[in-house]
Amino acid sequence: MEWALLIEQTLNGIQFGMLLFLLAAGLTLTFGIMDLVNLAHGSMYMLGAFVGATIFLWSGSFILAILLAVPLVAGIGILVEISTLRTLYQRHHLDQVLATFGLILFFNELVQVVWPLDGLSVPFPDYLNFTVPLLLGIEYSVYRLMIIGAGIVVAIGMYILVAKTRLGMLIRAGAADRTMIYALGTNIRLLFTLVFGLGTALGALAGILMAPILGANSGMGEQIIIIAFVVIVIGGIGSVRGSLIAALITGLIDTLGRSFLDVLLAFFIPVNAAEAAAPAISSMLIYIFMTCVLFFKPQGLFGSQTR
Amino acid sequence: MGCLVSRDLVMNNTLLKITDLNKSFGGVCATDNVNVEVERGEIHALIGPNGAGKTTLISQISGILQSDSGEIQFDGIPISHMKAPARSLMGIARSFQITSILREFTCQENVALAIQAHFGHSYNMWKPVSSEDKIQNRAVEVLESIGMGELRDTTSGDLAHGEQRQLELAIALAMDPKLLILDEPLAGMGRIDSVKIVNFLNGLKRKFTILVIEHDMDAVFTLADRISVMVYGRLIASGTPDEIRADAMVRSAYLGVD
Amino acid sequence: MRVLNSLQNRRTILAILVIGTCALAPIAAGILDQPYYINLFSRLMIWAIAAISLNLILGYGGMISFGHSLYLGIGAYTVGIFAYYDIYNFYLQLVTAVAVAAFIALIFGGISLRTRGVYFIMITMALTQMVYFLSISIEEYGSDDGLIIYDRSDFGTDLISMDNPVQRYYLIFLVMIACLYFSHRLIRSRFGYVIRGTKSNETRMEVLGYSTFRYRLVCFILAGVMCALGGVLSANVEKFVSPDIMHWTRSGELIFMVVLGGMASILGPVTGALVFWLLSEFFSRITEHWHLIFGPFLILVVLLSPRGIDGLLSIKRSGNE
Repeated sequence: MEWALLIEQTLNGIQFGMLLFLLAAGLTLTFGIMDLVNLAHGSMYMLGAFVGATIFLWSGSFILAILLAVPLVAGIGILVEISTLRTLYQRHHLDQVLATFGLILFFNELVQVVWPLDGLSVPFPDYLNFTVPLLLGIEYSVYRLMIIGAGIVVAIGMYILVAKTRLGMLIRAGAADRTMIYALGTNIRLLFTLVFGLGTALGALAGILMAPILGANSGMGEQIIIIAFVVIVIGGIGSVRGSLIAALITGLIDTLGRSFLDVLLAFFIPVNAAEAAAPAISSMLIYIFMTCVLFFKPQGLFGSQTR
Repeated sequence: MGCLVSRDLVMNNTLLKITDLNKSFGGVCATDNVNVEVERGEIHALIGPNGAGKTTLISQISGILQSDSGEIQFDGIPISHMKAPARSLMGIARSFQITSILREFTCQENVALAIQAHFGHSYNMWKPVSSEDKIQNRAVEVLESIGMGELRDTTSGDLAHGEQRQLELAIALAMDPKLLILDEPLAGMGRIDSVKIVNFLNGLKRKFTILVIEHDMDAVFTLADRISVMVYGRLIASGTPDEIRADAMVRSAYLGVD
Repeated sequence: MRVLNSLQNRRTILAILVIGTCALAPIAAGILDQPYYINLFSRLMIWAIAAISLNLILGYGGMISFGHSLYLGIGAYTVGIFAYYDIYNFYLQLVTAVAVAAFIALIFGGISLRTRGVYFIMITMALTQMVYFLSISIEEYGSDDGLIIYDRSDFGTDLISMDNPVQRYYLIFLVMIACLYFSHRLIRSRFGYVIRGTKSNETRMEVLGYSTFRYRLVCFILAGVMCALGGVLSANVEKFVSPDIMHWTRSGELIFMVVLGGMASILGPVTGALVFWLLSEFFSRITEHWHLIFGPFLILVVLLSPRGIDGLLSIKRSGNE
C-alpha cells in the first residue's frame, strides 16, 4: 500500500512541478529579457482560471475554453504591458515591485467585482474525468496526467524556441548579458511585448488547467506565484532549463514532504511528536531547500554569474 | 622575451611582487602568466593597447577580481586569498577608470569616508561623523592639497568631469596608502587639467609608491621610473623609460602602432 | 541658497504637521468624543514604526526587502505566545521579542544578503512566506484563526498601564519619536555613512576597506529589531495576533508607505503611513472595492513621483537633482 501511495504522490509532485514550470517559465523570460520583476504574473494565472472557467461553464467545451481564454488573457497582459509595464523596464526594481504590487491589488479586486460569488468551482471535463490503471494496481487521474503532458509539450516547445530560433538567441543573450539585447534586436519594443504576451499565455494556461482541481478564487495567484519565485531563484533567474529542473524538484519536495514527512520523522522521534511537527516542517521544506541551494550557489543552479 | 628587469635591486625593496598571475573569462585569458614587481617609492607605469588586460590585472591586485592562479605578495605578505576590504586596510588604494565616486555625497564626505575606513571601526551609530575633527580636518587637507578646497561642500555628482577625476584621485590619496594604483587618471581630461594632474603626481614622487595605467605617452614617459608593457594579457617588457623606448618588440607591438 | 531654505522650511512645516497630528490625536479624540480615533492613530503609528525601520534598510541601505512584515509578526507573536502561557511581564516579552527578531534577522539576513538585486527581493519574500505558513500550520497557537490575548503586557508598576488607551497611545508615540531620533542620529554617524555609501556604490566601498556584507547585516538586524518593537505594541493594541500580520501584502504596504513618504528622508515613513491611511479611508468611502482605485493610484505614484511626498516638496527647486 505504501508503495502505491508513494507512486501516486510522486506523480502528483511531478504534476505540481509542471504547473510551477508553466508559471516560472513566463517569469524567468520576462526577467531574463526585460529585466522586469513582475509580481503580477500570478494575476494572469488567476485571470486564466476565471476566464477559462467561465467560458467552460458557459459553452461546456474545455478545449474551447483553453482556445479562447489563453489568447484573451494574453491580450489583457499585452494591454497591461503597453499601458504600464513598458515604461518600467529601465526603472529601478523597486519601482517595478511596487507597480506590479498595485496591479495585483487591482486584479484581485476586479475579479471579486466581476465574479461576486466566493470564487468558481469547475468540474472536470467529462472525457478526462476518469482514471487509468498504472502498475501495482494504482488508478491515476487522466486529467492530472494530461497536465503533466501539457508541461512536457511546453518544455519541448520552449527548448525549440530557446535553442533554435532568433527569439531564443535573444533570450540566451539576455540571460548572459542584458545590454546585448539592445545591440542585437531591431524592434525591441515589439519583441518585448511578444515575450510578455507569451509569458502571460503560459501563466493563463496554467490557471485554466488548475481550475478543475483547485477552483478559481481571488488571491489564488499570489500563493502560487511566491512558490514560482522560489523555483526561479533555485533554478537561476533567466534560465528556462533551470526553471524546469527546479520546478520538478520543488513540486516533488513539497508534495512528498506533505504526505510522508510524518512517517519519515517517526523513525527519529516519537510518533505523536512526529505527527505534530510534520505539518509545520513540511510547509517550510521548499524554502529550506532554496536556502540550501543559495548557500552553495548564490546565483541558483543555472544562473549566470554576471548578475 | 625581452627580459629587461634590472637585477641589482635589493629584495626587500620590493613592495608588490606578482608571480605567474592568471585570470580568464570564459576561456579568454585576460591576464596570462603575468610577473611584475613594483619597488618602493617608484612610479611604475602599466601601458598597452586597449583590452590588453591592464584593468583586469589591477582589479586582481586590489581584490575586486579573484585570480585563477598565481601569487600576489604585498609588503612580503601573500594576499591572494584576501578580499578587497582587507587588502585596502593593508595599504592598497585604487582609483577607477570609470569614475567611481559616491555621487550623492559632497566632496568632503567622499574623502572623509575614505579616511574613516582606516581610522577605527565604523559601527558607531550615534556620533555624527561631521563632529569627528580628526577625520574632517584631514579630509579638508587632502582636498586642498589637490586644489579642490573650495569645492568641498559641492555634491560630487554635480562636479565637472575633470573635477570628478580629481576627486577620484583625492579619495585614493586620502587612504594614505602604501601602494597607490591609478587606472587612467587622465582619462577624458582636457589639456590644461592633464598638465595639472601630471604636475601633481610628479609632486607625489618618492612620497608614494604608484602603479599607474595611462594611455597618454607624454605623461607616462615624464612620470614613470619604470614601465611595464602588456599585450594580449601577457607582459612583454618591463624596464626604465629609455629601455622601453629602445625595445624593438614593444615598438612593433605597441608604440609603433600608435 | 534661498530656494534651499524654503525647501528646509517646507520640510519643517510638514514635520510639525505630522508629528503634531500624532501628538494631539487623543486630545482631539476627547474633544470630538470619538475614542475610536485613539486606537486608529495607535495603529497608524505602529505602521509608522515598521516603516521607519524599513526605511533604514530600504531607503538608506538600498536593500529591497519584501518581507519586512515578518518582524511585526515576531514581535506580536512573542507577546501572544507568552500570554498563551499566562506570562504578561512586559520586560520579559520585550527582551524575548528583541532577541528572537535579532536572531531571525541574523539568519535570514545572512542568507539573503549573499545575493543581490531581484534575488534579494524574492528571497526576503519567500522567507517571510515560510514563517507565515509555519504560523498557519501550528494549531497550538491558533493556526490561521490567530491567538486572542486576554491581558495586555504588565509593567509591574501602577504608574503606567497598557490598558489605559491614552497612556498606551503616548507610549507608542514615544517609541515612534525615539525611532525617528535614532534614525536621525544613525544616518549621520559613521555607520550611517557606510550604509548609505554602500547603497550608492558597493565596489567603491569595498575598495575603501569596508566589509560591506557585515555592515549591511548589522543594519538588517537593527531594522528587524526596531520593527519587532512595533509588533509588541501592535499585540497590545489589538489584544490579538494572527498570521495576517505578516502576510506578504503587508510587506508591500510597508514598502509603499516608505516610497510614498519619500525614501531616505527621516520623517518620510511617518508621512507615508499617515497619507496611506488617509487614502485608504478616502477610497473606501467611494467604494467597498477600494483596491480598484488604490492599485492604479499606487502605479501612478510610482510612475509620476518616484521620490514620494518628500520629492514633491522640492519640486520647485530648479537645477539638476
